[in-house]
Amino acid sequence: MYQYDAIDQRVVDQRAVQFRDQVSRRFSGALSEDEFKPLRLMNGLYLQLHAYMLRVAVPYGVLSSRQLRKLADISRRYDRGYGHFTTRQNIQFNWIKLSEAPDLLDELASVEMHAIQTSGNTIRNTTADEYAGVAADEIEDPRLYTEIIRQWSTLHPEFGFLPRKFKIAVTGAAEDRAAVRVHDIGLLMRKDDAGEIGFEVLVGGGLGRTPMIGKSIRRFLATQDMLSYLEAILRVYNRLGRRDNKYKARIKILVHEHGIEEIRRLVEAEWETLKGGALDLPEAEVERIRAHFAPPPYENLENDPAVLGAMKFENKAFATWVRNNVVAHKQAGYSIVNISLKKTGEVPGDATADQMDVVADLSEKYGFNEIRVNHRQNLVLPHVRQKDLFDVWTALVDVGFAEPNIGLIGDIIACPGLDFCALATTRSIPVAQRISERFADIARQNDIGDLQIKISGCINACGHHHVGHIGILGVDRRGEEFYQITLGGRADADAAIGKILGRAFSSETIVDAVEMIIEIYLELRNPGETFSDMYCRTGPAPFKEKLYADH
Amino acid sequence: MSYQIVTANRLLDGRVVYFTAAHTWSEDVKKSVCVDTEGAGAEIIAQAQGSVESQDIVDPYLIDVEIDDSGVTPVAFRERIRSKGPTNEFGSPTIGEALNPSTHQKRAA
Repeated sequence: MYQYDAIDQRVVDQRAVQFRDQVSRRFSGALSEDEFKPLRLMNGLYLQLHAYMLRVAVPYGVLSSRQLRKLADISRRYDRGYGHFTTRQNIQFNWIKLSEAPDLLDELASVEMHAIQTSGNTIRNTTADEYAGVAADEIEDPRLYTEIIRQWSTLHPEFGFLPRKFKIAVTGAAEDRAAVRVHDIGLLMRKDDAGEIGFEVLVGGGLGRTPMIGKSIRRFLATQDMLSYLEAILRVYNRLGRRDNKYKARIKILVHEHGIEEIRRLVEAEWETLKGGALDLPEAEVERIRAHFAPPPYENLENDPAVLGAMKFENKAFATWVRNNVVAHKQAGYSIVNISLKKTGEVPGDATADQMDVVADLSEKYGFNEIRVNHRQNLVLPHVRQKDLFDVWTALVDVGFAEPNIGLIGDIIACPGLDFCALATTRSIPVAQRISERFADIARQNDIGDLQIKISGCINACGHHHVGHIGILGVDRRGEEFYQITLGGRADADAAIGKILGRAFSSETIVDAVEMIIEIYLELRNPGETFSDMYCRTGPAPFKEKLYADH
Repeated sequence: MSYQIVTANRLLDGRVVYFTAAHTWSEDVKKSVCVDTEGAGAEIIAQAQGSVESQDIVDPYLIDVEIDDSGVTPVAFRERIRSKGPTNEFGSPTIGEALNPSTHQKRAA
């Protein structure tokens, strides 16, 4: 994985020094709250419902074991002993003191981490496929490009005060595990007719109060043109994006109001002034960065070692976990391990300091010191020898991280909601917990199959409810919590925004409503038909008919 | 009769605090000073501004409360959560299995 050079380290060190001075001036009154707030947000520090929340960047979801240990240590010493992994592959700490935030930034800088641009109207953390570099279906490892984007976007002199936040996602595989179609810019790796690798560029995707699927602005972009083209898009957005209305300031609104053809014309014209210039990285620099992502020293192994088969035969729970949570690796004899942070009844995406330390230990012992965070709020050990899977599973069982529910109904995405977030209108965590408890039986989860529930506590959609197969949005009705259901959302290659099913359900009835939806699906599905596919076939009618039968 | 109190966040650590009759700030909503007229509300907000200027708190505002035998309770659901803390914090012993107490060690003051 990428290692900082002297320039990278200086950036985070200087930023920590700068923020320490800003905090000092805030406490002295030299900076008012209005003056300090944008500076605080540029370092990912929010004032939430109960305390300050710090959002730490995990660039394209990649962590070393050393970094994860530091996050565990930070959660013990500066927080309440846990952290929350987010839908943008970052980690959040909920109980930070402003007085300690400068020390915290120093601690992060000591392990090549920071909180720069995890908030504010800037280019945020660029996210990627959590199986980058190891997926069997990958065209090329996207981490080279996400690292280049990270360096280009960090403290970019033109793009520090955009009309609104800006989010970029990259996938290097045919299967879109990074939800690129609902990002401001999505880069889908492709090969042209000559076999050259490049990107299809999508623009104007997004969730929030006006969800939209990104539109293709360029069918094929050569990799050496990536930065100049991104710069062109950002310049057009920076110039024309609406600054008069915060709720209409994202690039998706610009694309919607002007049309993709006009935006393409503007971007291509801007690009003419940029391409072939300073943003075409020297080959030597590209290779310097690429070298950081060379594969680890894999052994020559065979798939399906005898010990794995024997343990699966002897231990049904282990076999279930392998079936649901372990994915094929492109290197023979290795596997990708998904670690579910969705234990039944627990808070989705949360991990204690002890749990983080155990995952760090496992990555050191079995996984080349590397961990990934995915946008579904789970962790990944990207390189585990198949013969070590049982030992890894045993260790995960001990800390409650072995729930075999990846991609199943128990693998719920939920934002922090009104329990923590100052923007929220309702709670989301208790709904997630109650649903996971209702469907605790793993045999039932397996029978239901691929089913993604995503829950947001407000219209800002940080829980990605628009692209849940079942999406749940909390709404405030006369001071009471109600929950609106959407169906048919998808975040994959067939990305779709879910449709509202009907009237919202109360806090008391929402879990029953979800269970009824599942029962309808099980009754009407064809053999082997997933929930998503069935919904495409039937539409909402059978669900509306039963859920609203008494009205 | 409806009542109001002043709440804010403490600058130092972001914690929720309530304005008291002694013009101090308490994390306990039941220690807040309650008023029942618009004029009195404007007066305590003005008094709270002093703490903004002394860099103790940020963004003070009035909220509606009820007073009964148990004391002061915010009316709005959001404000009740602010006064009591998260309803489902990770690691709370009311949720799922109790976690190892060592996960909640706090840094020594």
